[in-house]
Amino acid sequence: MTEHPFIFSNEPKYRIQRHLYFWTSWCLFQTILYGFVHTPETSFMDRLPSSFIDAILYMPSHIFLSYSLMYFVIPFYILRHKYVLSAIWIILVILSSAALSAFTSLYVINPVRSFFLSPSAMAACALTNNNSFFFSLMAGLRGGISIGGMAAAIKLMKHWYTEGQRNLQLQKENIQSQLQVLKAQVHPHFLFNTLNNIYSYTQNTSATASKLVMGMSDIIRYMLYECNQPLVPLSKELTMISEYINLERIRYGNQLELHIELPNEDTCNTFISPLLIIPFVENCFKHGLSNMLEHPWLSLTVLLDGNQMTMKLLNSKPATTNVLHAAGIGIDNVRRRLELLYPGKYELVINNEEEVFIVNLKLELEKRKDLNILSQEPILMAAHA
Amino acid sequence: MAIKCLIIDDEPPAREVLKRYVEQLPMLHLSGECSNAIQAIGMLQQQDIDLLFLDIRMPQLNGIDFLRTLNAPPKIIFTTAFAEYAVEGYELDIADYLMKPIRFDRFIKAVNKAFPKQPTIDTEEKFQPLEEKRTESFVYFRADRKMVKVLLNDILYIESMKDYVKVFTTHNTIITKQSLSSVETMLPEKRFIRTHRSFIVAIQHISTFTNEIIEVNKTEIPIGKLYRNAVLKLL
Repeated sequence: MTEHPFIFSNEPKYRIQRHLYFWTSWCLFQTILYGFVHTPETSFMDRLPSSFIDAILYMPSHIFLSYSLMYFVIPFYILRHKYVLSAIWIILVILSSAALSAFTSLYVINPVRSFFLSPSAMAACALTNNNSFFFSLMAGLRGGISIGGMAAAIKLMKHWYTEGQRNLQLQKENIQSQLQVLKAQVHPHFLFNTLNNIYSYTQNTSATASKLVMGMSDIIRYMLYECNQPLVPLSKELTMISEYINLERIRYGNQLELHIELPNEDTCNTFISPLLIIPFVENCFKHGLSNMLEHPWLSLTVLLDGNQMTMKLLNSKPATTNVLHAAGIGIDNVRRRLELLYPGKYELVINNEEEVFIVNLKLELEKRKDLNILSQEPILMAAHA
Repeated sequence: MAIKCLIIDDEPPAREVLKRYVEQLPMLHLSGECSNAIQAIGMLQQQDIDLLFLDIRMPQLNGIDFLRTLNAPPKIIFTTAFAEYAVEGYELDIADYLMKPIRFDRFIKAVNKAFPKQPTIDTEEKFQPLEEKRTESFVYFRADRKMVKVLLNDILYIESMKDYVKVFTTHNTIITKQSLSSVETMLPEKRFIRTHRSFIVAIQHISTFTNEIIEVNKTEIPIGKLYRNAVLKLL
């Protein structure tokens, strides 16, 4: 909200400013519009002074209508869902503003004009004057409704926008707190102590089991402690991905054909939002590989060129997998996260071919030198969590 | 001169892991192990200890309070399942903070941190963290009702023919039902280039080229007008 104080701020300074702008532009617009009224005797420029006077004089009725809609009908009736009363009040308010405008045109306009304008200009105006009360009422309705409608539209638009933003924020907080609750239930120290004990017993018996327990622990620790950070070192995220693949591939024995190519250079200085890439890999196993009978394969290539990360992920999938299934909800979420976190800095192309699922992701990451020491120390980061 | 260390942890399996790790490093000598901090106070009075592997949450006296009772503490490495003591640990001037379960390579790093003058140990031969299957990059294409593996290095060029593409490799030709654009997305863009509406060429196999034609393995491949600028820029 703070980005556009002119529109959203409730500070008197900004409020007065934006209302002044609004009415000044309306006044100018009316002046020019009335200036175009067809009168063969006078030119456009000659009519401007009198149309300016008209615009000013009609303003009270417009202001009356706009503000009674914005600060009375909308907050007390429309937003409280009292629609019948709203309709009645709207009609009443519009009619009274039209009456005010009619009164103005019948009793105020001419005296004021004759005070300011030369007799010749007055004569020109006289042609367009219509003195019937009914006509003036109609004219008042026309002008009033257009400005009142505009003001009401702005008011409602702002209301829904702030409401929408707030809901979004609430949802976010809700999810956050749910996550906290979940975390509290797990009791991480119990989990890690137990994993450590299991690790201890597997050391003598099975090297594979040891590795699996260790990999599992690393992934859980990463998810529990380090993913609270807005950014993590790319190396961390990539290590987690290879750990994840290592855990998953156990399920396939030697069947799964893997090719993994990760950046050779140091990726500690490059930072990425956590758990951004894992969902793609997860998706490979969930929808593609686990349903394959014949020759499952996966190829993951991550390249880093300066700040530019390129990820290419190919995996086989059974020809029968339906399209909707192939790109799961996880992918939708990642796309949304990319849109929020890396607007204009990412390129995600997903090709769902008959027997291969292709993800191409280009991402402009952040490089940070000064965070180097901190970031290599996962424990310190965890401590902030 | 071996570094004399003491393990303090209330859980026997946790001590077991550390014992194993200590035994694997010749520069470390295990002087003893304790299941609680009170016991450790006595041990420290009896013998010289250079390095403590200290658990934090223990019955009776926890690791941090124990550490505060020591006048001239040896080097300390915390070993714990709790992340929240890290900051406190650094305030107590500990050498490192290990999170359980502890990886061997991380353990070595901590020891090196505590005694930087020791010759650093190569972690590679001792304990491969998780070996990665180093394979050459490949893709699979379906041809004649079976999946055919193709190494990216072997691909010379790819030609599209209506609904099919022909993949020319160094030793054979594979025909598969796929569009050329979808094949393009499967290939790394640094190694392959689209030269024509119906051709993709492997950059490493290009032998000669002119403005109109690229030669790959004695085959001439046209350069399309739309692709000319990009191709010439790259070559």
